[in-house]
Amino acid sequence: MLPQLASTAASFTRASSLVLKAGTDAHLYDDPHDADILRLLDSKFDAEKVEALTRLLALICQGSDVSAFFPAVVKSVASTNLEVKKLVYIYLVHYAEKRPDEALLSINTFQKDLADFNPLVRAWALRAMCGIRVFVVAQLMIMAVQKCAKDPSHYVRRCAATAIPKLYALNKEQYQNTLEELIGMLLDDKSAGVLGAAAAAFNAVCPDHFEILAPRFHEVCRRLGEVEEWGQVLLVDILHRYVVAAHGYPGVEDIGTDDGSKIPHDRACLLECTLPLLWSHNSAVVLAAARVHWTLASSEQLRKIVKPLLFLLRSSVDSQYVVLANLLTLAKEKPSLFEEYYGDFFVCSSDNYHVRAMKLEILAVIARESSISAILQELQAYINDPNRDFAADAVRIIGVCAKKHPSISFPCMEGLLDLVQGVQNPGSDQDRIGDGVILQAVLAIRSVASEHFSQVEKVFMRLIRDLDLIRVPAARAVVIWMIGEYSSKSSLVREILPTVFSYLASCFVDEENESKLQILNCISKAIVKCWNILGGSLKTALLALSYILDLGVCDVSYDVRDRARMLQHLMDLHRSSMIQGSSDISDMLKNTCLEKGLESDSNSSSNGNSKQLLRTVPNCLLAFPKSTSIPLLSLPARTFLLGSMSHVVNHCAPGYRSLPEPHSFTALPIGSTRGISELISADGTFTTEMMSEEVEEESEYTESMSSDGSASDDSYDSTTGLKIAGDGFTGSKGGEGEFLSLNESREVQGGLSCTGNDVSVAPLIDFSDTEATETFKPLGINEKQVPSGQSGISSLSMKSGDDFELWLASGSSSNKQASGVSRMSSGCLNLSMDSIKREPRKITLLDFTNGEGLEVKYSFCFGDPTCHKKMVWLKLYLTNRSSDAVSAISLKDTESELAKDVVKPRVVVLPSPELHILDPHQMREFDMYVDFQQQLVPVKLAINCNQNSFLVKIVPDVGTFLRPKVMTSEQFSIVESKLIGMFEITCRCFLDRRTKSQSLAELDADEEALAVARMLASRILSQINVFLVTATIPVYHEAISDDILSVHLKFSGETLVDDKLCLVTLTLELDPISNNASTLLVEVKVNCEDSVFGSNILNRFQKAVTEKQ
Amino acid sequence: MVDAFRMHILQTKDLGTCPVKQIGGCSFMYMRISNVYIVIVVSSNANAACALRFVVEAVALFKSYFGGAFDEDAIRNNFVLIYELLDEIMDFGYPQNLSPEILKLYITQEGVRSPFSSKPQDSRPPANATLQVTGAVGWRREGLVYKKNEVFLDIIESVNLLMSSKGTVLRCDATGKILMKCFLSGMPDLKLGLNDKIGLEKEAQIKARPTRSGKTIELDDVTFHQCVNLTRFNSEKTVSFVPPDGEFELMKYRITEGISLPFRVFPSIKELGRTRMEVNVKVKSVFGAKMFALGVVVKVPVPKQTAKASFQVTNGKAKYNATLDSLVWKVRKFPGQTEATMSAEVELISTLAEKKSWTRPPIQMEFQVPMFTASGLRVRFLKVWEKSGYSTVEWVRYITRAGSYEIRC
Repeated sequence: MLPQLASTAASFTRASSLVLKAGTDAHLYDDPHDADILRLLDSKFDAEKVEALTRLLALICQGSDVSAFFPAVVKSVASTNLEVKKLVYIYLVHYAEKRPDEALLSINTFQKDLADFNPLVRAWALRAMCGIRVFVVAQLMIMAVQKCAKDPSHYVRRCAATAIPKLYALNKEQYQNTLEELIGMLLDDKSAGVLGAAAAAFNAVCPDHFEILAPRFHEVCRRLGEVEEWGQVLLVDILHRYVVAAHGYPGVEDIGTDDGSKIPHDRACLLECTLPLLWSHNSAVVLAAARVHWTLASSEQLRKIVKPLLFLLRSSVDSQYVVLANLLTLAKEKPSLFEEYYGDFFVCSSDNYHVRAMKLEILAVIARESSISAILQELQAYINDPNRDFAADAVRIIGVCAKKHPSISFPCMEGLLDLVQGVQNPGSDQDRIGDGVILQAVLAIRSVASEHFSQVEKVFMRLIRDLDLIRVPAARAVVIWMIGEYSSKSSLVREILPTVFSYLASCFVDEENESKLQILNCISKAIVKCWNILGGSLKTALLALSYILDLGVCDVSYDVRDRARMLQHLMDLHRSSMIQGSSDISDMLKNTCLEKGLESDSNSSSNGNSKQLLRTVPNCLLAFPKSTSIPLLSLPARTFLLGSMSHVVNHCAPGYRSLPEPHSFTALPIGSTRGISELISADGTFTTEMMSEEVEEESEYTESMSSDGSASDDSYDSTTGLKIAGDGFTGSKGGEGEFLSLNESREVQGGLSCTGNDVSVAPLIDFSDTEATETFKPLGINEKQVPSGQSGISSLSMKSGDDFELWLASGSSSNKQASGVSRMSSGCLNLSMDSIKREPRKITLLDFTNGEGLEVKYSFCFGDPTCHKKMVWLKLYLTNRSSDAVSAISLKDTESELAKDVVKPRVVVLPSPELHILDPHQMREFDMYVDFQQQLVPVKLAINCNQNSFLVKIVPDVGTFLRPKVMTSEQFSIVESKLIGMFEITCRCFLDRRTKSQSLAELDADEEALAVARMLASRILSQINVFLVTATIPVYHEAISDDILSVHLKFSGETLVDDKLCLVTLTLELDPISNNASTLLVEVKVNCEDSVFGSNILNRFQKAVTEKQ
Repeated sequence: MVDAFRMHILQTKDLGTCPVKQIGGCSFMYMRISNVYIVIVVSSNANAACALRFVVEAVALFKSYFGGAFDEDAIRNNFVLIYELLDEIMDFGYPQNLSPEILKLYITQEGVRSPFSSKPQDSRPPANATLQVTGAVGWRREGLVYKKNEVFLDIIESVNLLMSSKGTVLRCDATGKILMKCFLSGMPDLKLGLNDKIGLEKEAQIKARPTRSGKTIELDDVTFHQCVNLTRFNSEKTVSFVPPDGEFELMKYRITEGISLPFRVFPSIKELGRTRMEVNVKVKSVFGAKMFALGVVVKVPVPKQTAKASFQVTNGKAKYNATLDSLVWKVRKFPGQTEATMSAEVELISTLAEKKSWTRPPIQMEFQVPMFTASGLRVRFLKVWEKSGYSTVEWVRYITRAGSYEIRC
C-alpha cells in the first residue's frame, strides 16, 4: 500500500512540475534523455529536429559527451531551415576538432551555403567552416575567406575579417602572406563594421607590419568615429602603436628632423580623431583614447582626458575597479593632473574594499598643501567606518600625508595619539577601535618620526608614557622598538630610560612573543648605542638586561629563548671589549658575568671570532621587527601599458605587447600608395639622409652612454650599495641574515659533502649518445658534475649504442633489454630515459663586462633534488673572467627582505654563497634552490662583489615547476584514465623536418622515427623536468607499410608545490607516404590534476617541441 | 576552470570586492547579477574594461530577450537561445553586434518571459527580414513605418548629497540620463538642443546675436550612446544622431554646479542618559509650490539595542524598523514649499556589557519629484528631419530622484 502511494505521489509531483515548465526549455534541460534523440534527428519534420538538437545542446551544457551523435547531426547540415542550420553549426563547431574525419563530410554543404543568396547563410557557413579547426581543410578555408572578403554584403565581409585570426591560429606561418594581403584589402573596406574586424585581424596576425597600415593611416583615423565600439578599441590600439613606431614620442626629437611638419601632423591627426571618443559610453574606448593622449599629447592637451576619466568612475560602475587601477598609475606619474579633483576620490558608502583602498592611495598621491586640510577631514571621517580594515588604511594614509607635508604633521600626530589612547571616544575601549587601526596609528607615528623626529618628539614621549594603555601586541612591539631606536638620538628619551626599562622588565613575563623579542632587542640596543652617554642609568639598564635575559632563556617560546641566548653571548663579548676602555665598570661587569655563571675563559677562546662577531652585534640589534610590516605595504606600482589586462593584474599576461620602439618603423609612406622599392629609388637620398642621421644620433647616444657608464659606473654602483647598507631597515636585516647564515653554512657544508656522493651515484642523468661519442670527453665545467664513478655506466651505454647501430643495420631483433633501446613484442621499440641526452641551457645572469669581471650563469637542473623538495633546483656558476681577483662575493634575495612576513627563505644557495676571494679564471659552482611558488614572477637577486652590488633577475620556467615522477607505463595508463574531462587538454603543433640534422635525410622511415623520437625526447627533457615513462616507436615492416606510423612519448611529473600529478603524452604521426612533407604533426596531450597549471605546461611543451635549436 | 573559480574566488572572503583576479596563468573577471555569476576567463592580454563592458551589454541583451529578469530560472528556461545568442555576439573572442533590435531580426527564437513581466509582446518582425542586417547604420533597420510618429524623452536625474550635521554641503552633484523612446518611420536624423552653456554660446556665435538671458547649465561630463555623432559634437557642440528603434539611453551627464536641492533636512538627536534618545527631524521642501514629491522616505539610524520608539509626525507615517536599525518615516505626497517634522522618543535596552559607542551613521532620504530637475536642465528643442517630411509628436518628461542623499548627524 505504502510504496504504491509513494509512487503515485512521485508521478504526481513530476506531472505538476511538467505543467509548470510547459512552454520553456527547462524540461529539455532537466531530462534531456526523455526522448529518443536519434529518432528525432532522423525525422522529416524540422520541429522534431530542432527538439533533438536542443536536447543535444542541453547535454553539452551539462558536460556530457554527445559526440556519438556526430554522424547523425552532420546529416542534417543540409537542411534549409535556418533554425536547424544554426543549431547544427553550433554542434559542429563544438565537436569537429574531436572528430575531424566526420567533420569533413560537412564541408560540401558549407561550400554550397557559401553560394547561397541569403547573406546571413553565407556568413554562418563561413563562420562555422572556419570554426571547425580541422587542419586538412585549411586550404579550402583560405579560399572561402578570400571569396567572402569580396562579398557584396558587409556582414559577410566582416565575418571574413573575423575568420582571419582563426586561420592564423590554425597554422601560423603557412598563410601569413595571403592573410596580410587580405587584411590590407579589408582595411580599405567602405563599411565601418568591416574595418573594426580587420583591425582585430591585423592585431592578431601581424601587429608589427606597419607598412600595411601606413598608406591608410589618415583614412582610418578619419573613420574612427564610425566604427562600432569594440572595433574602436582595437583600432585605436594599432594606430597608437603605429604612431609611436613611426614618429616616436613628442619631445626634443621633433625639432631635429627634416620633416618636422609631417610628424606632428600624423600625431595631431590621431589625437584629434581620438578626442571625441572620450565621450563614448564604453569605458574601454575611453581608456584607449586616454592612453593615446597620455603618451602622445602635450601637457595642455592632456588636461582634456581628466574629466572624462573621472566621469567614468561614476558612469560605469562595472569597470570602476579597472578604471581606478588606471587612474592610480596616472596619478602616481602626474599628480598635478588630478590635484584639484580630490573630491572625486572620496569614498562612497557603496564602494567595496578594493575600490576604497585604491581611492585612498590616489588621495595620498595627489594631496597638496592646498587640499590637504580637506582631505584630512575626510580621512578623519573614515576612521569611524564600520569596516575596520578600511579604517586602518585611512589611518595609514594619514601617516603618509603627514610624512609628506610637514606642516600638518603635528596636528596629525596629536590626532593619532588621541586615537591610540582612546581619547576620541571616551568610554570606549581599544577593542572597538580595532587592533589594525591602533597598529597603523603607531606605525604612522613611527614613519613620521623617521623623517621629522624633532617635531614628534613630544608626541613620542606621551606615547611612551601611555605604553601601558596600548594593548595590541604588535603596536607595543613597535613602540618598544622606537624606544631603542631613538634612545641615542633624543636626550629626552634617554632621561626616562631607567623608568622605562624597569617597567619593561616588570611586565616582561606577561608580554606576547613579539613584544618580548623587542624588549630584549630594545634594551641591548640602548646599551650598545649609548654605552658612553648613558651615565648613571647604565647600571639600571644592565640590571634590567640581565634580569630579562635570565627570564628569556627560560621562556616557553623557542624564538625568545634563542634570541635571549644569542644576545647573552653577544652582550658578553661587547661588554668585554668595552671593559678594556672603561675600567671603572669592569668590576660590575665581572660581577654580572659571575652572577650568570659564565666562565671567564669563554672570552679568550673565542677571541679570534669575537672581533668579527662584534661588528655584527649592532646589525643584529638594529633589526627591524618583522611583524610590523604586515599591512604597511602599499599597492605595488604598475608598469604595464594602460588599459591592458597585464596592467590590471600587474603581471605580464601572455601576449602582452608593450609599445613599439620609437622610430622603429622608418619607411616613408605618408599619403603615398607607391611600392616601397619605388619609394626608395625616388627618395633614396632622403632616406639615406634620415638613416645616417639616425645612426649618428644613435652612436652619439651610445657614446654618451658609454662615457657616462665608464665614468659613473663605479659611483653609481657604490651609491646603490651604500643606499642598501645605509637604509636602516634593509641593511640591518641583511646583516642579520649574513650573521645567521654564517652559522648555518658551516653545518650545511658538512652535510653537503656527504650528500655529494649520493648525487653521484644516482644514475638518472646520463650523458651518453649513440651518435656523438665526443660527449664523453671532459667538456669543461659540465663534466665536473659527471662523477668518476659513472664511467662504467657510460661505457656500458656506449656499447649498447653501438649494438643498436649494429642491430639496425642487420635488421635482426636481438634483445636490447639492458641497453637504452629495448625491443617490444608488439613490433615497437622502446626508448628509455637513460639514453636521452639532456642539455640544460646556461643562462647568463651577470655578464662579465657589467660585473667587473665576475660572470654569473645559471641553469635549471633536472632530476630529483636531494633537499628542498618544494623548490626549483638550479645550478649557479661563478667565473672570474678578469685578471684580478674578485673579492667578497655574496648573493642576496632582495624581495624577501622587503616582505618581512615571509616565513621561509625564497632562495637557498648551497654551499654558502659567500666567497672571500675568487682568483682569476677560477670557476665555482653552487646549487641553488628557489621557491617560485608556482608563479611566473622573476626573483630578484643582488650579487655583491668588490663592494658593488648588481641587481639581477632569475626568470622562472614553467617546465621546472615539476619534479619527475617515476612510474611504469601501466601505472601511467591507469592514472591517465582517471584524469579525463576537464583535466585533459590537447593541442597540436608542428615540427619542422628541416631542423633535424642533415644526415637524417637519407635514412629510411624506421630510422627516422627513432631519430625524431630521440630528438623530441631530448628537447623535452632538456627543458622540462619530467620523467620519461615510455617512448614507443613502431618498427617499420614491409607488411604494414601503408599504416601510419605513430610515435608515442609519455612523460610524467608532479608539481613542486602541491604534488599534483601531471601526465603528458606526445603523439607523432609519421606517414611514410608523405615523406617529403616539410612538417610533422605533433599532438600534445596533458592530463593534470591542476587544470590551470595543465594549460600552462601544455603551452610550455608546445614551445619545447617547436623550438628551433 | 570552474573549480579554480570556485576555490579561489567564491570560497574566499575576497568575493565581490575585486572583480579581476589572477589564478595560475589565467585572469578571471567576474560580475554578479542577481543570483548569477558571470565569469570571463582570459589567458592572454585582453582588455579588461572591454570584457566587463561586454558582460554588461550581453546581460542587457539577454534581458531584452527574456523580458526582464536575468536569473537562474531565466537561464534554464532559455539555454538554447543563450547558445544561439552567444554564438552570434562573440566570435573567436571578438565581440560582435550586440544591439538587441538588430539581433531580434534573425535570432527569432522567442524568449521565455518570466510570468510576472507584464510587458506586452512585441509584434514580431517578419522572419525573412534577413537582408536588414546589412543596413548602412548598424543599429537601425530600414523600412520602418509607424502610423503615428512619436518621440518620448525622459530626463531622469538623481541627486547625490552629503551634508554635514551643521548644514554645510560637503558634496553635491546630480547625475542624469536622457532616455529616449522612438517610434519614427524611415531613417530620421535628430538634433537635440539643451540649455547647456557651451551649446548656447556656440549657437549665439553662429547666429551673431547675444545669448538669451535665462538659466544656462554647464554640463561637466557627458557620455553618449553609440549613435551620436561624436565628431560633430566635438566641433559644433550639437547632439545629432540617427536613433535606433525603440527605447535606448541617449546620454549620461553629471552636473556639479548650481544644483538646487529639493529638500533640506534639519536633524537633532539627543542622547538622554543611557536608555533614552530624542530624535527630531524637520524636512523642508524647497521646490516650486505647484509641484510635489512622491514617495518620500526618511531613514534615521538608531542604535542596535533600541527597544521601542514612539512618534509624533505632522505628515505621513513613521515606525521603527528593527532589521534596518532605523526609524523609517514615509510621506506619500509632499507638496512644495512646505515643511514637515517628526519627533520620536527612543528607548534603549541598557546592556551591562561594555557599551559599544554608537558611530551615528548618516540619515538617508529617498524621494521622487516629477517635472523637476535639480540641475535646471531643460530640453529646448528636438528637431527631426526625414526625407518624407512627416510631422512628429514629441513628449518630454522630467523627474528627479534621490541618489545617495545623506545627512550626517
